[in-house]
Amino acid sequence: MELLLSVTIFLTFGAVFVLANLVLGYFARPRIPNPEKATVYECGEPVIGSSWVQFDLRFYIVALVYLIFDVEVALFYPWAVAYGNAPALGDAIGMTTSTVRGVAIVDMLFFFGVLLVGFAYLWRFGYLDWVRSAATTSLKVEYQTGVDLRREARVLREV
Amino acid sequence: MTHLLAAIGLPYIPGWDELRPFAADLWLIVTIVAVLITPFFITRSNIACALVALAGVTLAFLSQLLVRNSPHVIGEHFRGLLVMDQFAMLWKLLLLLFVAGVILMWFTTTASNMHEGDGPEFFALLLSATLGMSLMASTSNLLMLVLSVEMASLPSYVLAGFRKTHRIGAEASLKYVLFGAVTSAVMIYGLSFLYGLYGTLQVGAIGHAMAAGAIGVGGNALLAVALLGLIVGIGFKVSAVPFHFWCPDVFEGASIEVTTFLSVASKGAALVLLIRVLTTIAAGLGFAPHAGMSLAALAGVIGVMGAVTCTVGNLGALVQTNIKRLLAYSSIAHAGYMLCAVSLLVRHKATIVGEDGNSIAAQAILLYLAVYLFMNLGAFTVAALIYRQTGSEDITHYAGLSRRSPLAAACMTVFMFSLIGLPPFAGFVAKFNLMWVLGTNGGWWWALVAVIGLNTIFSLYYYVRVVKIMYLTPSDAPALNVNPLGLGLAVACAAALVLLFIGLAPLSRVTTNYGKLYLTSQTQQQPAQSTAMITGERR
Repeated sequence: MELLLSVTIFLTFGAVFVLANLVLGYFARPRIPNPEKATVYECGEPVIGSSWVQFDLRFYIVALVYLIFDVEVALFYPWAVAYGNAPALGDAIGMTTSTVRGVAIVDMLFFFGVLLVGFAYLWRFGYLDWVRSAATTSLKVEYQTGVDLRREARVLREV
Repeated sequence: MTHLLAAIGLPYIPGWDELRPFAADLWLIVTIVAVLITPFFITRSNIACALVALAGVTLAFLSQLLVRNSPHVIGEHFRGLLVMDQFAMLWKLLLLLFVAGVILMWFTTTASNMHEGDGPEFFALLLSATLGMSLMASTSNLLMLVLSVEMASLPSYVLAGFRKTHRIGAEASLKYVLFGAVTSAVMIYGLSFLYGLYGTLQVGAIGHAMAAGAIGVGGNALLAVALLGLIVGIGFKVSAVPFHFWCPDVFEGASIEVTTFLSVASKGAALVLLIRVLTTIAAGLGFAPHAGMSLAALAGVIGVMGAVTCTVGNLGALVQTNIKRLLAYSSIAHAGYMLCAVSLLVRHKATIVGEDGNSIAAQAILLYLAVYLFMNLGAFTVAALIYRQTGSEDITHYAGLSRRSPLAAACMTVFMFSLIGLPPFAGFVAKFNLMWVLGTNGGWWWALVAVIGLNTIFSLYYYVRVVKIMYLTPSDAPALNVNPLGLGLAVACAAALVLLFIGLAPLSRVTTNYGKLYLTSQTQQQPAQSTAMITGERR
């Protein structure tokens, strides 16, 4: 009940404080309108065009790949700390040093291996190419002599 | 060095005894990687990946069957992060069987027009979602709960919009992801309260802490918020009523295998998770009313939610003209029936028979899911076959199907009658069993029985309308040349429904064995541990 009371006071005070200041400002401030004031505030810079522009999805893929490897490095660190002193750890949990080292390396190789498979997939099938061409996908294209498939893919790409 | 170790805790090295119960999940992980490696070696990768996925799912199914009676399988594993019991095991088996069916369905429907090179991604996503749904059945820790729900959700969002050039598919995917993100956020917010109140992530320990005593000033309000968050998150996955809006749109926009997959696997997994979490908490409280945590109120909320869900689902289905939307509303209704039974699990110890946590309500839900799996797989397969031939999902285009493709029409009739719950088919057994379990508990559960009965009458109209159009509406459209493999799958599902009805006794025996829930309150001590296992407690 006390909690409910304090939450109510908190919410009421928050709402009243904001509203009261807005109302106070409305009555106290001078009104001198000019066109510069009516524009969108953009850190003092003049506004150039709308901010509703489309970003290329390919930036997103690059960022995602970066993020995956960033997280992976973050996971390497506790792994290295935890398994760093294998003899001491082995004593603590009743395993031989070589077993602990084996477990540690298998652990990380499995994790890293799965990541690498995903990365190899991205690379092989052209997700990292700025222009994803038909030649790098597993799409089976009839080979014709004198036709550069990569160039064809670029030309035929619908915009 | 040792002080650093002390700070982060000793690394935890699970032994084989701990990995063995999760053989199916491990096989799924291996299969996901294998599916991604396949296109490096095989140029026509779609079919190859489908075969690899099918083989992996089969191996997972067989490995789960093999380990089911091994020692040390039942109980908590990985320091209590995961739990394995007969209930989870049967769900995993059903899920894998179903996913194998979905992959078979893919061969007959989308295989020929999926863009070459999209296969690896499709199956990697499908199996990742399956892995998440499989883990949802054995989670007993809030962290694993969030992880497994997200692991099931995120690939589902992508799968819903997998047809990249399809406008409705993109809309479906966006609706799904926005709705899912909000409900996930609410759920995680609620779970953070639960952690804040009891200082533990273990669901079992939370139940015991609730029983142990008061939770301080305002704690009851916070607990209500926490449980509400949990119900919102899981209610979204189940498509229980205030959170069901995504369901028809996503089901219509997604390609038909994905719709089939979501309609059974996603909802089933969420129901199983709800049962696991609520029953574990209720067991901690000894299934008794308790200060601050009224199990009666919780059961009431879920029961009312179930009743409203099945009513809204059935009423919504009445006006549908698209077969996928009709089946979407029908799946909302079926989720509602099952939710009604979930309300029993949190309230009545009476539904738990014996000391091993055997619950007749859990059995009834598993039986329902098992039957529902065949009904939905079959109905969607027939719809997909007709869509492949006519390019239409409109029910009016089913006119004269009894003449154009008699076998497909007959199969569809079986599925529709089974979905209603009419006697010669297994749908009757499942529904009757559910109502019987509800009825034996008496009290206000009789009202739920009445609601389900009333809803069966509502549902009669729209299911029978499909049959009526197929058999009675004349049409001079040409005969359909449906895919024989797909037709085989539909016939197999129809046969399964008839056989399950005939094999009523063996079926109930199977579910009797598999209704057992591992409840920490009954076995206070830790399960048997292998020598290689260590408890990573802080020193």
